[in-house]
Amino acid sequence: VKRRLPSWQTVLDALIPVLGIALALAVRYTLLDFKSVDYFSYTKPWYLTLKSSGFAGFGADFSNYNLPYLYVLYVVIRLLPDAAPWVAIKLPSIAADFLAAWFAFRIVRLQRPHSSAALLAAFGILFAPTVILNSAYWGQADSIYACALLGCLYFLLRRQDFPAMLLLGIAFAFKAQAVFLAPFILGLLLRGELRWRSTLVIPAVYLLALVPALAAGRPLLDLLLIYPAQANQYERLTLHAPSALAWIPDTGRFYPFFYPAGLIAAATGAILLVLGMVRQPGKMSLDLQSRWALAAVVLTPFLLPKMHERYFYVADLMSIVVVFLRPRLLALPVLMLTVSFFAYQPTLFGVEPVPMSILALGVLAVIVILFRDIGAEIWSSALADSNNRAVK
Amino acid sequence: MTTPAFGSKDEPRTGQSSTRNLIPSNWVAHAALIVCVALALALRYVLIEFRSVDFYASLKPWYNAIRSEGFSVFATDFSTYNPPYLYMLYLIARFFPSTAVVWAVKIPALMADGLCALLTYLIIRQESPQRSILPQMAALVFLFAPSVVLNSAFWGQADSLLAAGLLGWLYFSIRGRHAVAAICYGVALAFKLQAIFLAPVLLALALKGSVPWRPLLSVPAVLLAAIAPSWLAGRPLGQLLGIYLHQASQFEYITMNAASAYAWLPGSKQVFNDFYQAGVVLGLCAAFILFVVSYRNPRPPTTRHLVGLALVAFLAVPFFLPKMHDRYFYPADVLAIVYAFLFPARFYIPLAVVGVSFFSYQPFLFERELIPLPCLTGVLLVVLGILVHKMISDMRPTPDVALSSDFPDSDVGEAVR
Repeated sequence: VKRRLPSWQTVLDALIPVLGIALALAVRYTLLDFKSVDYFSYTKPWYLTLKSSGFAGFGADFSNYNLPYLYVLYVVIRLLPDAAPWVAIKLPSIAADFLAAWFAFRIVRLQRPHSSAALLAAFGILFAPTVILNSAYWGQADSIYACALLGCLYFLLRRQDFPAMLLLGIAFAFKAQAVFLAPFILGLLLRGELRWRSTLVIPAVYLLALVPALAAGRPLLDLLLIYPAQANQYERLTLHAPSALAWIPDTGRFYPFFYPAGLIAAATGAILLVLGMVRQPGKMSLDLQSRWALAAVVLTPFLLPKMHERYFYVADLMSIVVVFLRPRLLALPVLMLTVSFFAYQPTLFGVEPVPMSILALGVLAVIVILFRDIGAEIWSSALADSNNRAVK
Repeated sequence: MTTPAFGSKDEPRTGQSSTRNLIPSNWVAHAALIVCVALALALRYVLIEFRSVDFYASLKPWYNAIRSEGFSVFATDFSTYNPPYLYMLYLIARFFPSTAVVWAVKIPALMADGLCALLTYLIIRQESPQRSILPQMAALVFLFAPSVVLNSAFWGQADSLLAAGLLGWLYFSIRGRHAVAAICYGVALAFKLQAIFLAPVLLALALKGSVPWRPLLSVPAVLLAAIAPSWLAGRPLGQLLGIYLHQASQFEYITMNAASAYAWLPGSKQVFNDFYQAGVVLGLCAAFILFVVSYRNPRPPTTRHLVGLALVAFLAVPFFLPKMHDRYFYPADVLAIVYAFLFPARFYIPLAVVGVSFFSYQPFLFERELIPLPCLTGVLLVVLGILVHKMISDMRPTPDVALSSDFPDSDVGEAVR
């Protein structure tokens, strides 16, 4: 049999992802040399400590981050000892960008297996301005826990509880902000769509992540207090986050009142979100679950105090995923990414082109649009359900 | 089939036939709701220690006067408020003398918050399918609405006392208990003059015969009963009757951070002198138009209709009146929440109204103007336009139609066209 040459079509199909990845790498490469304030005051000293003292460095309290990120840094140092420090600290985050894109690809593929939507979703994530800025330019690590959360969502949608909870545990071990997804997880648990015992993986992963540092000689209590210490670091209602507390003056006169008020509002929002999920009749479709997940990661940081500008990072990613599952929600990623991009500006560029209070209105619009969409679905499925019962 | 008047026993509970017993009541919902109510209390608890300018300038001196001089203080004009709120302060000072001042002056309004939440729940329950959690959600939305939380717990204002009276009027009107409803309205009016914005609607309904007119006689009776203790304490009757007139002449600003039409004018003395009288007449015009619309409505008023009318009244009249304060849209905030639970497709109405109130509180409470007042006025005008349009189209004599698919009762008029 004579072997047929592949058609142009096939070659192009294979080339598109390659070219896209090449472009995504290229844009990141051009930004690598920037050194942010955070680099000088945090990541660079951490890097130097780990480089000079090696694994024994984990015995001391040299960083306010939880350990997994530092282990990753350590591995990078061991593998690429000659890389410039500002490049080395960005490499894990950049790799996570691509992993996040991969999970977005897989999620969209679950619902639309024969369309190019999945590929576009992956590119959407790789070329989102905040995703590019966060890792390659700024040198932040949000893409690491965010990609684990996207992976968690992917396995939840596939009803694979243990891999999902494993990834959630990993996400939480990297950053406390993984907790923004918690209302969604609790909703699934109460709906019986997720097994309670699978959640035991989360503390297990968290504790396991502490073991190397324990071995290096750091006291356990010290390790367990990393997240509480982070939470107590700043006495600010918001740190450039476009959250509801951007509408309250961030001064000592109002902080004692609105810091607890924000916590209470967030708890209420989370409870109502869980309640909404529990009251949703029938089986939840794939894209409906994704919308609830997005609702959790937008609403929680919107109401909590002490949020940073980048805490809507997971919301950025999930809004991109959701729009490929439900195209009518196009406004969500457009608003969310624009708001996040402008929220980065005070920290990264020292300017505030759009006031934070206006950006917070943008996030509020995202929340309203999303809950209106979900609410209408709850109502119409309730009506359909009653009609079915009437027929029986 | 004609739509029965509100208050009659056979008014259809919309949606009941299609969604009855549909959503299972379960322990998760109950537990969540109880926790949320506890959180609403906690939210007020963490805000209560705040002392506003008004607290130092008015509330604290009043409370101290009451506490030091006892009941005889009511013989004097130590406060610009109508007596009922002051009686409540007296009761607190008399029976709980150890209460901190900042708590004492806020407790009446905080209790009214609870009463408002209860009445919101009862009103929406009248109109919701059985076992739905919409009534509870409505109460929670009220309890967590930013302008509601700020007004009582943070600022120490008493607008929720007025709102409680108004919601009582609404609830008992819906139930057909018109005598109780009129007393509630009288109570609202005795707490705050702003209840008067509803008067054109009440008059129109009474003159038209939609509600009996005799119970309305209890309104002046309640007002007189409210000032009677002060009169007995020795304050001249003329002075007591003139409290509201005095309040109206107190400040000479065309608007006091209210997102009214006059936010579009400069806040100068000149403008005030030139436009104050015109503004009063304009406010009367708004009231008159509202009266005409309520009076000429061809359909017998339903609950939804009544809420719509009341909401428009509490938006339109203060919108066109001069000298309005930022918190004079408080009844509109509360009614907008009720409105949205009766017309779920119009969920954006309370978002806009409460949002405008929240941002117009900022200049006074936080001493900054995040969103310029003229913009807030623009938002309110758009809301008012939408509401009036919906109200008129809801009034058109159309046959009853089934629920639309998306939401119950969403724009019934449009579905017909």
